[in-house]
Amino acid sequence: MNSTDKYDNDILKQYLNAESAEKAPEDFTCNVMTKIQPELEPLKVNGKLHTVKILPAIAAIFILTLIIIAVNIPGNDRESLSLINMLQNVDFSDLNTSFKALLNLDLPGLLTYLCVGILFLGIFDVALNGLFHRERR
Amino acid sequence: MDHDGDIKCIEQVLGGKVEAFSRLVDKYKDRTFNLAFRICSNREEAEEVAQDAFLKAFKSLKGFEMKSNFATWFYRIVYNTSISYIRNRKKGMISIEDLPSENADFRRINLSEEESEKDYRNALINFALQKINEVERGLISLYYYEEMSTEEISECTGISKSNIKVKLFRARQKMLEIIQNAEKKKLKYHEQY
Repeated sequence: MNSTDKYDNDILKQYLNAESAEKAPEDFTCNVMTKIQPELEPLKVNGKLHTVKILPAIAAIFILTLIIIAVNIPGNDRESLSLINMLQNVDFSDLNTSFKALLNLDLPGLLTYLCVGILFLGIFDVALNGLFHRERR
Repeated sequence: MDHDGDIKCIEQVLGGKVEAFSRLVDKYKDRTFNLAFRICSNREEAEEVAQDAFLKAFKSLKGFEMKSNFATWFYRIVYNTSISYIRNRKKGMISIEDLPSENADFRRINLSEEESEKDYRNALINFALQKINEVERGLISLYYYEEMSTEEISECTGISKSNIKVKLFRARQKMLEIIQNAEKKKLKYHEQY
Protein backbone atom coordinates (compact mmCIF):
# COMPACT_ATOMS: atom_id res chain seq x y z
CA MET A 1 0.00 0.00 0.00
CA ASN A 2 1.28 3.48 -0.80
CA SER A 3 2.30 5.48 2.26
CA THR A 4 0.16 8.37 1.04
CA ASP A 5 -2.90 6.13 1.13
CA LYS A 6 -2.46 5.23 4.79
CA TYR A 7 -4.33 6.93 7.60
CA ASP A 8 -2.23 7.88 10.59
CA ASN A 9 -3.22 6.34 13.94
CA ASP A 10 -6.04 4.45 12.27
CA ILE A 11 -8.41 3.30 15.03
CA LEU A 12 -10.38 1.19 12.58
CA LYS A 13 -7.34 -1.02 12.13
CA GLN A 14 -7.83 -2.24 15.67
CA TYR A 15 -11.26 -3.49 14.67
CA LEU A 16 -10.84 -4.46 11.03
CA ASN A 17 -7.95 -6.90 10.96
CA ALA A 18 -7.18 -10.55 10.23
CA GLU A 19 -8.40 -11.53 13.72
CA SER A 20 -11.89 -10.21 13.10
CA ALA A 21 -12.07 -11.63 9.56
CA GLU A 22 -14.80 -14.19 9.00
CA LYS A 23 -13.86 -17.73 8.00
CA ALA A 24 -15.59 -19.75 5.29
CA PRO A 25 -17.56 -22.85 6.41
CA GLU A 26 -15.56 -26.08 6.59
CA ASP A 27 -17.31 -27.76 3.66
CA PHE A 28 -16.98 -24.69 1.46
CA THR A 29 -14.38 -26.11 -0.99
CA CYS A 30 -16.36 -29.32 -1.33
CA ASN A 31 -19.55 -27.37 -2.07
CA VAL A 32 -17.84 -25.25 -4.71
CA MET A 33 -16.37 -28.31 -6.43
CA THR A 34 -19.81 -29.97 -6.37
CA LYS A 35 -21.28 -26.88 -8.04
CA ILE A 36 -18.58 -26.98 -10.69
CA GLN A 37 -19.25 -30.62 -11.69
CA PRO A 38 -22.54 -29.94 -13.59
CA GLU A 39 -20.66 -27.27 -15.57
CA LEU A 40 -18.28 -29.93 -16.83
CA GLU A 41 -20.99 -32.36 -18.06
CA PRO A 42 -22.17 -30.31 -21.08
CA LEU A 43 -18.52 -29.83 -22.10
CA LYS A 44 -17.94 -33.59 -22.06
CA VAL A 45 -21.14 -34.34 -23.98
CA ASN A 46 -20.31 -31.62 -26.53
CA GLY A 47 -16.85 -33.08 -27.02
CA LYS A 48 -18.20 -36.56 -27.64
CA LEU A 49 -20.94 -35.29 -29.90
CA HIS A 50 -18.25 -33.65 -31.98
CA THR A 51 -16.69 -37.06 -32.70
CA VAL A 52 -20.10 -38.60 -33.24
CA LYS A 53 -20.81 -36.00 -35.97
CA ILE A 54 -18.11 -37.60 -38.16
CA LEU A 55 -20.22 -40.72 -38.64
CA PRO A 56 -23.20 -39.02 -40.32
CA ALA A 57 -20.73 -37.21 -42.58
CA ILE A 58 -19.22 -40.57 -43.63
CA ALA A 59 -22.73 -41.93 -44.19
CA ALA A 60 -23.68 -38.90 -46.27
CA ILE A 61 -20.55 -39.25 -48.44
CA PHE A 62 -21.27 -42.95 -48.92
CA ILE A 63 -24.88 -42.33 -49.93
CA LEU A 64 -23.83 -39.53 -52.25
CA THR A 65 -21.31 -41.86 -53.92
CA LEU A 66 -24.03 -44.47 -54.42
CA ILE A 67 -26.35 -41.90 -55.97
CA ILE A 68 -23.62 -40.68 -58.36
CA ILE A 69 -22.89 -44.26 -59.40
CA ALA A 70 -26.60 -44.93 -59.91
CA VAL A 71 -26.97 -41.81 -62.02
CA ASN A 72 -23.92 -42.45 -64.24
CA ILE A 73 -23.98 -46.21 -64.82
CA PRO A 74 -26.72 -47.40 -67.20
CA GLY A 75 -28.65 -50.63 -66.59
CA ASN A 76 -27.93 -53.98 -68.31
CA ASP A 77 -30.29 -53.22 -71.16
CA ARG A 78 -28.26 -51.94 -74.11
CA GLU A 79 -30.93 -49.49 -75.12
CA SER A 80 -31.25 -48.01 -71.69
CA LEU A 81 -29.58 -44.69 -70.89
CA SER A 82 -27.87 -43.35 -67.80
CA LEU A 83 -29.64 -40.38 -66.21
CA ILE A 84 -26.82 -38.04 -67.28
CA ASN A 85 -27.12 -39.16 -70.91
CA MET A 86 -30.86 -38.77 -70.75
CA LEU A 87 -30.55 -35.23 -69.42
CA GLN A 88 -28.01 -34.38 -72.11
CA ASN A 89 -30.36 -35.68 -74.80
CA VAL A 90 -33.32 -33.65 -73.60
CA ASP A 91 -34.67 -31.49 -76.41
CA PHE A 92 -36.95 -28.86 -74.94
CA SER A 93 -38.22 -27.91 -78.43
CA ASP A 94 -39.63 -31.43 -78.83
CA LEU A 95 -41.18 -32.40 -75.52
CA ASN A 96 -42.75 -35.57 -77.00
CA THR A 97 -39.28 -37.03 -77.83
CA SER A 98 -37.96 -35.98 -74.43
CA PHE A 99 -40.76 -37.90 -72.76
CA LYS A 100 -39.82 -41.02 -74.75
CA ALA A 101 -36.20 -40.66 -73.62
CA LEU A 102 -37.44 -40.60 -70.04
CA LEU A 103 -39.14 -43.93 -70.61
CA ASN A 104 -35.80 -45.41 -71.78
CA LEU A 105 -34.30 -44.77 -68.33
CA ASP A 106 -33.43 -48.03 -66.59
CA LEU A 107 -35.42 -47.45 -63.41
CA PRO A 108 -35.09 -50.96 -61.93
CA GLY A 109 -31.25 -50.61 -61.97
CA LEU A 110 -31.42 -47.20 -60.28
CA LEU A 111 -33.86 -48.48 -57.70
CA THR A 112 -31.47 -51.27 -56.69
CA TYR A 113 -28.78 -48.75 -55.86
CA LEU A 114 -31.28 -46.59 -53.99
CA CYS A 115 -32.53 -49.55 -51.94
CA VAL A 116 -28.96 -50.51 -50.98
CA GLY A 117 -28.33 -46.86 -50.05
CA ILE A 118 -31.46 -46.69 -47.90
CA LEU A 119 -30.46 -49.97 -46.22
CA PHE A 120 -26.99 -48.60 -45.36
CA LEU A 121 -28.55 -45.37 -44.16
CA GLY A 122 -30.84 -47.37 -41.89
CA ILE A 123 -27.90 -49.35 -40.47
CA PHE A 124 -25.97 -46.13 -39.82
CA ASP A 125 -29.01 -44.60 -38.15
CA VAL A 126 -29.42 -47.57 -35.81
CA ALA A 127 -25.68 -47.52 -35.01
CA LEU A 128 -25.70 -43.78 -34.31
CA ASN A 129 -28.80 -44.06 -32.16
CA GLY A 130 -27.16 -46.76 -30.03
CA LEU A 131 -23.93 -44.75 -29.77
CA PHE A 132 -25.73 -41.54 -28.77
CA HIS A 133 -27.75 -43.24 -26.02
CA ARG A 134 -24.63 -44.97 -24.68
CA GLU A 135 -22.86 -41.56 -24.39
CA ARG A 136 -25.84 -40.10 -22.58
CA ARG A 137 -25.84 -42.93 -20.08
CA MET B 1 0.71 -20.36 -2.92
CA ASP B 2 2.17 -17.30 -4.63
CA HIS B 3 1.31 -15.72 -7.98
CA ASP B 4 3.27 -18.41 -9.86
CA GLY B 5 1.42 -21.06 -7.88
CA ASP B 6 -1.90 -19.52 -8.93
CA ILE B 7 -0.85 -19.50 -12.58
CA LYS B 8 0.30 -23.12 -12.35
CA CYS B 9 -3.09 -24.10 -10.92
CA ILE B 10 -4.94 -22.20 -13.65
CA GLU B 11 -2.86 -23.88 -16.35
CA GLN B 12 -3.65 -27.27 -14.85
CA VAL B 13 -7.37 -26.49 -14.75
CA LEU B 14 -7.32 -25.30 -18.36
CA GLY B 15 -5.37 -28.45 -19.24
CA GLY B 16 -8.26 -30.56 -17.95
CA LYS B 17 -7.24 -31.16 -14.30
CA VAL B 18 -10.32 -29.63 -12.72
CA GLU B 19 -9.24 -30.85 -9.25
CA ALA B 20 -6.49 -28.21 -9.31
CA PHE B 21 -9.20 -25.58 -8.96
CA SER B 22 -9.86 -26.83 -5.41
CA ARG B 23 -6.38 -25.56 -4.44
CA LEU B 24 -7.38 -22.07 -5.57
CA VAL B 25 -10.66 -22.38 -3.67
CA ASP B 26 -8.80 -23.47 -0.53
CA LYS B 27 -6.41 -20.57 -0.80
CA TYR B 28 -8.99 -17.83 -1.38
CA LYS B 29 -12.09 -19.18 0.37
CA ASP B 30 -11.70 -17.33 3.68
CA ARG B 31 -10.86 -13.99 2.11
CA THR B 32 -13.65 -14.40 -0.44
CA PHE B 33 -16.15 -15.33 2.22
CA ASN B 34 -15.07 -12.42 4.43
CA LEU B 35 -15.44 -9.90 1.60
CA ALA B 36 -18.86 -11.29 0.63
CA PHE B 37 -19.93 -11.36 4.28
CA ARG B 38 -18.87 -7.76 4.90
CA ILE B 39 -20.84 -6.60 1.86
CA CYS B 40 -23.91 -8.81 2.37
CA SER B 41 -23.93 -8.79 6.21
CA ASN B 42 -25.39 -12.28 6.26
CA ARG B 43 -23.56 -15.62 6.52
CA GLU B 44 -25.91 -17.66 4.31
CA GLU B 45 -25.97 -15.02 1.60
CA ALA B 46 -22.21 -14.58 1.83
CA GLU B 47 -21.68 -18.30 1.32
CA GLU B 48 -23.97 -18.28 -1.70
CA VAL B 49 -22.25 -15.23 -3.17
CA ALA B 50 -18.76 -16.62 -2.52
CA GLN B 51 -19.64 -19.94 -4.17
CA ASP B 52 -21.19 -18.10 -7.09
CA ALA B 53 -18.03 -16.01 -7.47
CA PHE B 54 -15.86 -19.14 -7.62
CA LEU B 55 -18.22 -20.64 -10.20
CA LYS B 56 -18.03 -17.48 -12.32
CA ALA B 57 -14.25 -17.47 -12.02
CA PHE B 58 -14.12 -21.10 -13.14
CA LYS B 59 -16.28 -20.38 -16.17
CA SER B 60 -14.22 -17.30 -17.11
CA LEU B 61 -10.84 -18.89 -16.49
CA LYS B 62 -10.22 -19.21 -20.25
CA GLY B 63 -10.38 -15.44 -20.54
CA PHE B 64 -7.87 -14.85 -17.74
CA GLU B 65 -4.63 -13.26 -18.93
CA MET B 66 -1.71 -15.10 -17.38
CA LYS B 67 0.26 -11.87 -17.01
CA SER B 68 -2.42 -10.44 -14.70
CA ASN B 69 -2.69 -10.95 -10.97
CA PHE B 70 -5.22 -13.68 -10.23
CA ALA B 71 -6.14 -12.22 -6.83
CA THR B 72 -7.05 -8.82 -8.28
CA TRP B 73 -8.96 -10.45 -11.15
CA PHE B 74 -10.81 -12.73 -8.75
CA TYR B 75 -11.62 -10.03 -6.17
CA ARG B 76 -13.22 -8.04 -8.99
CA ILE B 77 -15.57 -10.99 -9.57
CA VAL B 78 -16.30 -11.34 -5.85
CA TYR B 79 -16.91 -7.61 -5.42
CA ASN B 80 -19.20 -7.36 -8.46
CA THR B 81 -21.12 -10.52 -7.54
CA SER B 82 -21.68 -9.24 -3.99
CA ILE B 83 -22.79 -5.77 -5.12
CA SER B 84 -25.15 -7.24 -7.73
CA TYR B 85 -26.59 -9.59 -5.14
CA ILE B 86 -27.27 -6.75 -2.69
CA ARG B 87 -28.82 -4.55 -5.39
CA ASN B 88 -31.11 -7.37 -6.54
CA ARG B 89 -32.08 -8.06 -2.94
CA LYS B 90 -32.87 -4.40 -2.40
CA LYS B 91 -35.21 -4.40 -5.40
CA GLY B 92 -37.30 -7.11 -3.80
CA MET B 93 -37.34 -6.09 -0.17
CA ILE B 94 -35.64 -4.05 2.51
CA SER B 95 -33.66 -6.17 4.92
CA ILE B 96 -34.00 -5.32 8.57
CA GLU B 97 -30.21 -5.30 8.60
CA ASP B 98 -30.34 -2.27 6.31
CA LEU B 99 -32.15 -0.30 8.99
CA PRO B 100 -30.01 -0.33 12.12
CA SER B 101 -31.22 1.78 14.99
CA GLU B 102 -29.48 5.05 15.67
CA ASN B 103 -29.53 4.32 19.39
CA ALA B 104 -28.41 0.72 19.27
CA ASP B 105 -27.10 -0.51 22.59
CA PHE B 106 -24.23 -2.94 22.25
CA ARG B 107 -24.64 -4.21 25.79
CA ARG B 108 -27.64 -6.09 24.41
CA ILE B 109 -25.55 -7.71 21.73
CA ASN B 110 -22.94 -8.62 24.28
CA LEU B 111 -25.46 -9.82 26.86
CA SER B 112 -23.87 -13.12 27.79
CA GLU B 113 -21.14 -12.91 30.39
CA GLU B 114 -19.07 -15.54 28.56
CA GLU B 115 -18.94 -13.49 25.41
CA SER B 116 -15.51 -12.10 24.99
CA GLU B 117 -14.27 -8.69 24.02
CA LYS B 118 -13.61 -10.11 20.58
CA ASP B 119 -17.27 -10.99 20.08
CA TYR B 120 -18.27 -7.53 21.20
CA ARG B 121 -15.89 -5.96 18.72
CA ASN B 122 -17.14 -8.16 15.90
CA ALA B 123 -20.74 -7.19 16.65
CA LEU B 124 -19.74 -3.56 16.74
CA ILE B 125 -17.91 -3.79 13.40
CA ASN B 126 -20.88 -5.52 11.78
CA PHE B 127 -23.21 -2.86 13.10
CA ALA B 128 -20.96 -0.02 11.92
CA LEU B 129 -20.57 -1.64 8.50
CA GLN B 130 -24.34 -1.84 8.15
CA LYS B 131 -24.53 1.91 8.59
CA ILE B 132 -22.62 2.48 5.35
CA ASN B 133 -23.72 1.44 1.85
CA GLU B 134 -22.64 -1.74 0.07
CA VAL B 135 -20.01 -0.02 -2.11
CA GLU B 136 -18.40 1.59 0.95
CA ARG B 137 -18.50 -1.77 2.77
CA GLY B 138 -16.67 -3.33 -0.14
CA LEU B 139 -14.06 -0.59 -0.21
CA ILE B 140 -13.51 -0.75 3.56
CA SER B 141 -13.09 -4.54 3.40
CA LEU B 142 -10.63 -4.42 0.52
CA TYR B 143 -8.69 -1.63 2.20
CA TYR B 144 -8.48 -3.05 5.73
CA TYR B 145 -8.82 -6.81 5.42
CA GLU B 146 -7.04 -7.28 2.09
CA GLU B 147 -4.71 -4.37 2.73
CA MET B 148 -5.03 -3.23 -0.86
CA SER B 149 -3.81 0.13 -2.10
CA THR B 150 -6.31 2.56 -3.61
CA GLU B 151 -4.82 1.67 -7.00
CA GLU B 152 -5.51 -2.04 -6.49
CA ILE B 153 -9.01 -1.27 -5.18
CA SER B 154 -9.58 0.83 -8.27
CA GLU B 155 -8.64 -2.15 -10.45
CA CYS B 156 -11.03 -4.38 -8.53
CA THR B 157 -14.01 -2.07 -8.40
CA GLY B 158 -13.66 0.08 -11.48
CA ILE B 159 -14.01 3.20 -9.29
CA SER B 160 -11.45 5.96 -9.82
CA LYS B 161 -8.66 6.37 -7.27
CA SER B 162 -9.79 9.85 -6.23
CA ASN B 163 -13.37 8.66 -5.78
CA ILE B 164 -12.17 5.71 -3.68
CA LYS B 165 -10.28 8.08 -1.38
CA VAL B 166 -13.39 10.23 -0.91
CA LYS B 167 -15.66 7.23 -0.30
CA LEU B 168 -13.16 5.63 2.09
CA PHE B 169 -12.82 8.85 4.04
CA ARG B 170 -16.60 9.23 4.43
CA ALA B 171 -17.09 5.59 5.32
CA ARG B 172 -14.34 5.76 7.94
CA GLN B 173 -15.85 8.89 9.49
CA LYS B 174 -19.27 7.23 9.79
CA MET B 175 -17.83 4.03 11.23
CA LEU B 176 -15.56 5.83 13.67
CA GLU B 177 -18.46 7.89 14.95
CA ILE B 178 -20.52 4.75 15.60
CA ILE B 179 -17.63 2.89 17.22
CA GLN B 180 -16.65 5.80 19.43
CA ASN B 181 -20.27 6.33 20.56
CA ALA B 182 -20.58 2.64 21.36
CA GLU B 183 -17.32 2.67 23.29
CA LYS B 184 -18.52 5.66 25.34
CA LYS B 185 -21.78 3.85 26.15
CA LYS B 186 -19.85 0.77 27.15
CA LEU B 187 -17.63 2.82 29.41
CA LYS B 188 -20.68 4.46 31.07
CA TYR B 189 -22.25 1.03 31.53
CA HIS B 190 -19.15 -0.29 33.30
CA GLU B 191 -19.04 2.80 35.50
CA GLN B 192 -22.71 2.35 36.50
CA TYR B 193 -22.56 -1.38 37.25
